[in-house]
Amino acid sequence: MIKILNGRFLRQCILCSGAVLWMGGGSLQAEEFLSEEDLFEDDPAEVVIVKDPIEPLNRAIFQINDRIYTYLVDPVAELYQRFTPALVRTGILNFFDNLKYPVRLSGNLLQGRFADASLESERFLLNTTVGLFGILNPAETLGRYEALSKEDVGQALARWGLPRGPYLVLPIWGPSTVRDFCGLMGDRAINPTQGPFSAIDHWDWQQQAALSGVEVIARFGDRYQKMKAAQIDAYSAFKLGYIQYREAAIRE
Amino acid sequence: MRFLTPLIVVLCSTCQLLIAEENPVPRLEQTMNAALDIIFLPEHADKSQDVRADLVSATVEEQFDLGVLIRRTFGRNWQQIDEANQARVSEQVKQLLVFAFVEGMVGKSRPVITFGAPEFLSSKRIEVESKIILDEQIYQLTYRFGRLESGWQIYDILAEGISMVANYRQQIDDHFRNNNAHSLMEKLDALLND
Repeated sequence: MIKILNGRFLRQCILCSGAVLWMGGGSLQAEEFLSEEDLFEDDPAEVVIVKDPIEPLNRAIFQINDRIYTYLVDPVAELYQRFTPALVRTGILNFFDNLKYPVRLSGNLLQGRFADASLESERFLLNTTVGLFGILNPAETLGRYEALSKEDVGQALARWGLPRGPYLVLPIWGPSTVRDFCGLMGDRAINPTQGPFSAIDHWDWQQQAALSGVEVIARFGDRYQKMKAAQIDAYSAFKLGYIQYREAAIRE
Repeated sequence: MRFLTPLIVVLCSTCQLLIAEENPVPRLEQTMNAALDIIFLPEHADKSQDVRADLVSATVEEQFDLGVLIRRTFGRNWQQIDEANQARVSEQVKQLLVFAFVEGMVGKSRPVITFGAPEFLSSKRIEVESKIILDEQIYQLTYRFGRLESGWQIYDILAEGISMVANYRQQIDDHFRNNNAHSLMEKLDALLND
């Protein structure tokens, strides 16, 4: 007996007790876990209420837009993608994105984000000069501009306290709200490529807008179709998705 | 008896890790890499999209309980589905989500994903930011984890600020305003067979 107590057996026992105590120290009490109620009840912070008083009309426009995207715009974009090298397409996207500088600048200035407005101007100058009129995007290689978010007039209106207003589906354009529609009109007034409302230039906007539109759709149309395929109710999904996306952009 | 010491140490270390895992990011990263391997590695290239989706589903479920995420998308509507059909609906939604993930990667180059450090929202909830570079585009994806008895489980995923749970819950709410569970199952079947 004494031999046993003095020997390896005692060491094993001490080790086991230590291990059990160690485990006990790391374990958590039941109240430190999320309860069923925490997890599965509606969390008021997660509930987004979207006013949609003209839902039948919005749904009808959504259906028409969907058919236009699927049967008209997508095939054109697909052809364009097939016959235009990726490098050229990236250059076109960069060029039009660079030209939207007045929109981003105004969005920042109207929200009092002067540091971001200054960075936007720096980026525009860099891309316009070194980047050959914005075709290249040398600013992208510098981490300095990474955190810049794309501001617009709609976001500024939200910052000023203008309520979101009812949800709207605009023909061709897609999801919006009354506030964002007002912002969109402001954006168009200061976007040089988006006539006939553009107040800052009167160039051949139709072709530019068409090319810019086809490029954007070529890039994002595929994503739209894939997103739509995974939704139980695509109208509801895009409605809430749009509202959440805009709210996140405003909070940034 | 000699083998007992290392065995006890190994067992206890494993239990300790399981009980008090403080950072689920390595597990998430490993799961995402394994899922992307199934989609992009040449050894899986001959498999159909359905098979790859099943493999991805199994890989993810080895590490995370997708039931938590799916059950949350239903919110209060879960009670409108009888118990016999809850498992079926849950499976349908899981298949839809996994298939959408696999389908979303088709024709693309393998994305580069970087994960940030976990940020504690409370002692029971954490948030992990990730950045995905897919076809020259950068996307922000946020994972929200809750501490459950089974370990840290994903309870929501936000893509560019859009909550997956809130989005599906809105769709399911809209569905149940005018329809019932049976038509939801039919709709999900139709989506999966499309």
